[in-house]
Order: sequence, then structure tokens, then C-alpha cells
Amino acid sequence: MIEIMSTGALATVQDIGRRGALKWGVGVSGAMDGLALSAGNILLGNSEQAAAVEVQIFPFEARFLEDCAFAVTGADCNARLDGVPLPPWWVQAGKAGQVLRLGFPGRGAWPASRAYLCLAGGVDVPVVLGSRSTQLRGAFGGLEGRALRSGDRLATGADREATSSGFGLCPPAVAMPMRLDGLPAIRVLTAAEYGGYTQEATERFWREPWKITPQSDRYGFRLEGTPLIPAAPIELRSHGIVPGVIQVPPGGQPIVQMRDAQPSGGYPKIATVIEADLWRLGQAPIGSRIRFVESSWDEAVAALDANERWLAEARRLVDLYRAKRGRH
Amino acid sequence: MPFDHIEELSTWLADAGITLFELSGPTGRLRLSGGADPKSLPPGSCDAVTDRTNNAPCRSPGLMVTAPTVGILLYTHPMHDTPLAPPGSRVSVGQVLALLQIGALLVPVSAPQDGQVAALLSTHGALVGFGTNIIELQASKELD
Repeated sequence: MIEIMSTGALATVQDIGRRGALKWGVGVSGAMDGLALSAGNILLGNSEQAAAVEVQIFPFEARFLEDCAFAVTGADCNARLDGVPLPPWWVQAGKAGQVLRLGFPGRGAWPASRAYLCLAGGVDVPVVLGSRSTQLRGAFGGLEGRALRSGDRLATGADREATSSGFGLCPPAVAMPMRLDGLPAIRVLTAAEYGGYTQEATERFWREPWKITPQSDRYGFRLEGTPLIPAAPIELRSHGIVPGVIQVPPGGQPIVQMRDAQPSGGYPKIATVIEADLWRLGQAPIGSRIRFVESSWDEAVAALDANERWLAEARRLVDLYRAKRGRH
Repeated sequence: MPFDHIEELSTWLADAGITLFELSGPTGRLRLSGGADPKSLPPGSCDAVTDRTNNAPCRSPGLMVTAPTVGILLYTHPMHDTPLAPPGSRVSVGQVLALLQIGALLVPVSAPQDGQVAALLSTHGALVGFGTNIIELQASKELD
């Protein structure tokens, strides 16, 4: 069990997401950087379904109320355990009474904005509609359907392996970088209304950088750039949308739907961020700029396979390492 | 199982400071043991660094921190610009001084005790074997 000592707003319990509930109008939620969450669970030998704490505002401090191995992944946030620095993407044994502090994310090799505190056994909150993810709009899931506050206590699941500690993973941002003209590149598929935009607008969409505005959160990223103007006004009835869909409201500044997106919308869709790159966009800090790169369906599926391969290889190596150390 | 290379193997193991070697195959199992663990020698022991050419006085060699496994040696974390433990830095027991990368896996080379990093003994990015000297550490009590 850990106790939250201090947290900025919007730290929530998240797992890989609430799949299969869109038919009831319930969004997917889940970690904005699903690869980082999965990597943390792999480091701990947790199940893929284990939930963790997603930290978006720093610093964040938690105290261990009992011995518990933990992993910190995602943004490189200068994690310290009782003042001793831990490398990024690292698993370590926490002892009762020790304090873990996550500082402001650095702007080093990989500027990122969200860190994951994973605990051996996973954060034990009730499963609601198949997931432990916090659904803020519906106020369910996670811890009482809300963001974490100082003084909150989080229990861990009983299903944990022997304490393992002191090793890490080289993050996929280093192993699988995607950059274009020095900016993070996000691969997208063109969407239904793409053809309704002027050639100038679609050229700008690919050619120009897009800034992540401060009006960006788990619900959606509002981007800023040269307005995208349709050849003729596009009016649509509300229809189903998923995380990754890039809508263009009448002002021409696109909105990318993120993990807490509502499941329907009526704005025209110019493109969709491929599922395999949602983690890249999910980590892009406010104020930073990104570029969009056109992807084909086959490339999008291959990119998802590449993520899965990275995770499978990480799991294989970690399991080997843990088994080897277990003998001593 | 071929036993032709035991002598050669033993030499390699001794050179690398390996005290126990086990190899299992479908037809048998080979177990080589021997020698004292070099890490268990007292820190003041100076056999290895006595300058025999001019009989210079024995300098305290500090503690050799060795590679716990095979891997690509990283003195700097892949996400960082600055070394984990540059020469001269004070480190505490258990602190990560360097990393060995095996695919996506990063295995720590940790400080066996409090001290000060005296020297980096290998090259960033080099493929190192088990027991390779990675860092020379001056124990805290010898600093004052």
C-alpha cells in the first residue's frame, strides 16, 4: 500500500483501457502512454491488465506503507527514492516508510509529459465495466471515479511475484524514434472528410508543424497552426469517434481526440492518429510542436505489430533476467 | 560433452575473476570452481598495481567495480546527456554507476559501497564480458 503525500491535479489510476464499452457510450480511458504502462508492468512481472498511477502534474510524492516493488516509466522525471536518484524506466524495491518523489520531467533526449508509477501486483481498485481506469466524465473507475488527492491510500493486488529490483528498460522512444525535421512525427490515416478540404489546407496539414496548446488534456489535444479550411462547409450528424480521430471545428484548428474522448462527435474528421502512435502524441508536452506523417492501413498495422514485438522482447528479456537472479 | 578446452576455459575464467562456472548440456554438466573472489580481497590489497619497474610505493588501488554480466557498456543512460557517475563524483552504496544493455534490458553496475569514482576503466558503447573492470571506486574512508 502507498499513500499519496502530494500531487498536482489530475493524477489518476489507469490501466490499458476500458475496451468494448463504446457500445454503451462509455469511452476507453486508460493510460495516455500505453507502452510505458505495459513496460512498467513487465518490469514488475505484473499482468498486462494491472493498473498504475498516471502522473501529469509534478512534483508528485508517495510514501510506501509496506515493502513493495515499483517501477517508474514514461516521462524522465528525475525519480528519487529517499533522495537517491533512480534511472528512468526502472524497477526498484520500495521499503515501508520510504518516499518516492517524481520531479519535473526533463527536456532531454525525449521530452515527455506523463509518468507512470506501477506497483507490484498492480493498483487494487475495483474493476468497473472490465477496467480499473478512472472515467472522470462518468465519475467511476479508478479510485472513487476521481483524480488522486493527498492522503489517498492505494492498495496493491495480492498477485505479485517475489520482489525484484534494480534494473530497467531502454524506452521505445529511444529504440523506435519517429522524427521529422527535428520534431516528433505522428503517423496518421486520412479520414472520411479529408477530401472535403482545399488542396492548400491538406498540403499545410502535412507540411507545417502543429503546436500542442494549453487547452490539451486527456480528453483531447487542441492544436494550433494555419487554419484548415474546407472547400465548402461540412455539416454532419453526430457519429461514433475513437481516440486518435482528428476533428476540425469551424475555426479550422484541429482537435485530436485522446483517451478520455467522448464516444461521439459531429465535427468533420480530416485524419486519424494510428493506434500505434497514440502514445507518442500522448507524451507530447503542452507548447511543443509535432508533425503529421501520412500512413497507409498496412503501415498502421505493421506499426502496431512493431509495438507488440518491442513489448514481447522486453517481456522475454525481463523474464530471463528475473529467472536468472531468482536462483541466487 | 567435449572436455578439450577446460584448461583454456579455466584460464579465461580466472582472468575474468569468475569463481564458479556451470555448463549444462544434453549429455552432461560441467562445473568449474576455484580461486578467491577478487571482490572479497581487502580494498587495501595492492598486488595488482604494484609498479614493478621502478618499485614505486604501492598506491591504494581502490575497488574495481566489474561487469555483472555480458552487455554493451553505457556510462550514460540512453535518455541522458551526462554520465551516471562521472570521475570524481561521490556515490552511495547501491547507486547505479553504469549500465549494461542487452537488447531493451538495462542491467545496473552498482556501487558496492560508498565512495568516490576514481576512474572509468572501459569505453562507452563497448561490448564487455562478465567480470570486466568498469569503474575504479575509492572507498569513502580513504578519502579524508
